[in-house]
Amino acid sequence: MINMAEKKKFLIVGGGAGGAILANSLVKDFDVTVINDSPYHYYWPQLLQIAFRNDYSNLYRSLSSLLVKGVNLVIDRVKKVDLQDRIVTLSNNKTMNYDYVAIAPGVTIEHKGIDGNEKLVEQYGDFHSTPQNASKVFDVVSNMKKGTFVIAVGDPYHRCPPSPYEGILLADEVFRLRGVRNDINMILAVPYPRAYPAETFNEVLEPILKERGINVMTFFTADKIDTENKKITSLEGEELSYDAAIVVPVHKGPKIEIKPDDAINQDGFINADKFTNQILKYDDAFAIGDASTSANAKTGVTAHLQAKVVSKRVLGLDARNTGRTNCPTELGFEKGTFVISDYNHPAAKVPANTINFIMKRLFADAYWDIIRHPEFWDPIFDVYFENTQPEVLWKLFR
Amino acid sequence: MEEINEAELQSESLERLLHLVEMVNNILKDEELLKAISKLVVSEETFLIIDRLPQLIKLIEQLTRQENLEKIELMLSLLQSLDKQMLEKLSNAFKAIKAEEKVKPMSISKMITTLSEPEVSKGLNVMLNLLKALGS
Repeated sequence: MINMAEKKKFLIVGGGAGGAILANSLVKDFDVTVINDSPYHYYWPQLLQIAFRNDYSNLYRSLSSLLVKGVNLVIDRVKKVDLQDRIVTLSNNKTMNYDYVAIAPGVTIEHKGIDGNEKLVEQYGDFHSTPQNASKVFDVVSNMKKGTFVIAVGDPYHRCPPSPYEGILLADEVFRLRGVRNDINMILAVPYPRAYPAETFNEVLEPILKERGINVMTFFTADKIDTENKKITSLEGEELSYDAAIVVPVHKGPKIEIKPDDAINQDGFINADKFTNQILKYDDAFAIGDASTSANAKTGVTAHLQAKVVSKRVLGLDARNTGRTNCPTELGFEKGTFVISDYNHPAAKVPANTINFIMKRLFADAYWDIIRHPEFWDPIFDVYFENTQPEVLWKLFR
Repeated sequence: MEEINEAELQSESLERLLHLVEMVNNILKDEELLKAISKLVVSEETFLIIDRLPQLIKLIEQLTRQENLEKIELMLSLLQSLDKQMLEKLSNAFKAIKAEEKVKPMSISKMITTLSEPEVSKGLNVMLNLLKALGS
């Protein structure tokens, strides 16, 4: 047993999926402190459930209830992280030093990144920013009777890559159940040459969109919204009229000053090695999850896997990220699929079916337990990730 | 000290139990999840499986006998080696035979002419190769 005095100080900035799992995995070997700007931990995929099902059940839990005994929790905003001097500065200018730091505060949503999106969100909401905005979407889909309903993507690097597709398909489900679908023209506008950027997974998704009568507009990067005339203009110069629209907002890095300056890129994301999550040359500093450039998909599972890699590396093991993604995707009418890929394999053609929907929901319902008890879930996930490697799935679903 | 440790252990166990109960409660409250599970369990296919379970078990038992497994593997490798186009042609030929109600008798001169047609000689060649392989 290591005494508290002998334990090294490990500061974790952010108590999201990555931060909380890292803290709970390290508490036996380090003096761990989590700094979070809110006393709550949000399960962001629930925004889709609020937007299309008015279901708030899994939205948040108090962060203290998710951290195991022994993890210190500070509720404050981090202003600055100085990697050179190993100092973290809080909003009240109080400073904390560390032996190790992991920065995992998530992203900043910038509606103003797309001209007119602030006003559009006020009217129709979205499912990437807040529960209040997701609730506005529910008002729209449960009251719209006719016209054109649009979901457009303005920022391809948004949180949860399948979310625009889930959004349009869940909206379709609501319209069908309300009996108004025949009077509503549904359009999904994306910046890619096809509905889904990865060609292989597109082969799964595009037939579903077609079958459900959803029109896909390709090469359309939402750039400007004229809310008075109800028109969206793309970077490519196309125009799209709507009666109700949701535009996926621009995502930026965290609003934290990080020194040295070259630790962050022009969008504020932290430059971290994609295999080790290490920030630049600092072997005592890591960036994990959505805030880091190392995340090839901005999802909780990616943050989870990165947290496990960091927890092993600081204990001296040579763990590395494989770039594994595992995005459960809900398609409406109790059907689901998974976007599973890694650095060496594009997304496999995982079929849409009820079993995958059940798997998706079980993951969501077990989420809080997965955060609280990594020791219980790690062996289960090790087997799951081993048996569902993209390489294996590629052979299985040709 | 030991009493405190014991109390701590018990409180941790109780907490773990409460967390598990919370997770089960989340699952039980998830109406759509339960609906999907019910649909999957209570379906025409599952009823069919349940109804024919004794036959299925018997069939599985026969199929998984070592000697049968070896035969199935051979059949599979045979299937893999078969040319899809050739099989389609064969299937069309059988359909044509079935469709022809009466087979008209053919004169010897017509038979000799037919044998010289390239498509027929190709087919005969295939048949001869097959017969050769069976005889080897």
